Amino acid sequence: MMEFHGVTDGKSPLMSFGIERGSVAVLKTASGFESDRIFRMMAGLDEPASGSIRIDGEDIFALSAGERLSRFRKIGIVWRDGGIISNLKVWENIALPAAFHGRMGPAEAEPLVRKYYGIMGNTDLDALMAGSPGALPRHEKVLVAIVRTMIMEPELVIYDNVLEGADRSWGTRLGGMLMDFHRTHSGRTSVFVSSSDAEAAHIEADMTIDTRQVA
Amino acid sequence: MQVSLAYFDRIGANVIRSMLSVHGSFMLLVRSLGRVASLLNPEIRKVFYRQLYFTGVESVIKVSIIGALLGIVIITQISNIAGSNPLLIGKILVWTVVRELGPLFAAILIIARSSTAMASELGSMKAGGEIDSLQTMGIDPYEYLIVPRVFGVVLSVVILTFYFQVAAVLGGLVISTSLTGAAMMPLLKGIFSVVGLFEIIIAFVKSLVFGMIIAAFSCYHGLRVKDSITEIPQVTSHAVIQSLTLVIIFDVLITLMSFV
Repeated sequence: MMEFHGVTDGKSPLMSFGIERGSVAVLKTASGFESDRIFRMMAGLDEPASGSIRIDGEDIFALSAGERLSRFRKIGIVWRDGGIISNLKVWENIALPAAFHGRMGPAEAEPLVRKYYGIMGNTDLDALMAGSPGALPRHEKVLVAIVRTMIMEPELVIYDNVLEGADRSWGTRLGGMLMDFHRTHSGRTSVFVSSSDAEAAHIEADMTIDTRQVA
Repeated sequence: MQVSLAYFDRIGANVIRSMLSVHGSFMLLVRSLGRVASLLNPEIRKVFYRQLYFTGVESVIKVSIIGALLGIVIITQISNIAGSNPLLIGKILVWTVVRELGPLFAAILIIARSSTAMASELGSMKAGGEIDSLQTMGIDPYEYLIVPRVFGVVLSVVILTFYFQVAAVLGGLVISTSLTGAAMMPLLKGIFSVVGLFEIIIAFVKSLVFGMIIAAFSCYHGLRVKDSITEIPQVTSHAVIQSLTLVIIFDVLITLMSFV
């Protein structure tokens, strides 16, 4: 599904590895800075200084900007701070990509959103959804981004340190929800970029890649 | 001699920066106008309506009041010079308000209100990584953020220019008839005898061009922010000054061309 061939951003050592379709992979990095750099390359934002990143055999940086945008409609990217759009309400943030790409309207999305928030123990959603995301704590912003990604039903999901700083209870519930989501689609691939051992403990990984050892 | 050269260096650098801004803003405008079809997307249309509401609807009352006050000033001055000649008053009012001050003042009001807001909003989104976030959702940030803003501002400027002109003419008429006791009908006839298709086209062309300038420069400078929110005041200032300068330059050009 995803392959790194001799990839470096110029600051980190060369990385070469492959992640099979349908698997859960944890990419352990040496630091938050390294996580950010690798995540941005995987998200198609920063081109590697050398090497190539392939998704389903396609070098994502050999694609044109328009082709890359089309490709990323089927890829879920969850930023460590949520990647929230500040001038939209929480509900508008969650529904944006699904509505934009004509995937799902608000009426179809609402029951799914309630289900995912219900798993996390939050059933009083009306005030939350109508509010501005700016005032939310980090873990709530991350949850908005996760739910936003889930309703798109992507075939590949890349998470950036989403469990960082989570307490045990939150981490366990969120890790469980992410694993259940992974299993709802047999071909779905989930990649967790993580600079923290504690975070990786909440994920049932099929493979763990330590970026310090993958030259 | 070295001091003089450094001075000319600075002037040269500023000129080059300004020319790059003009080029960049123009290319942004051309790119946006070529993507009008993206307004068919309901999510992009929402952004367009939001921009139209903020720049247009929320400014109607302010623009109308300022228009009316300007109309009062103009007609008072005209009456002092021209006496109570309704045809002459109508002509001067149309020339000043419809052809010149209407489009220019409406543009200046929108620059003051919306140019700063747009540049700082886009700058803040850029510095906060929201543009990158949109890309990772498979959403073209240009189509989602810039295209609806450009069309929203252009339409708002055209409509607000019309409101400004109507308010200025009506405001001036009401005061003129109240203060001088002159009848309104001869004044109205004087005005309508002068307002022709040519005046309306000139005003429309000016408001269209001014709207495109304001939208293009505000969006261009907002997107220039790199990483830090401290750049935002600088880019909003550049957006305002350059929008104002280009609006005035094009006002002169269109006026000169209309008399050729």
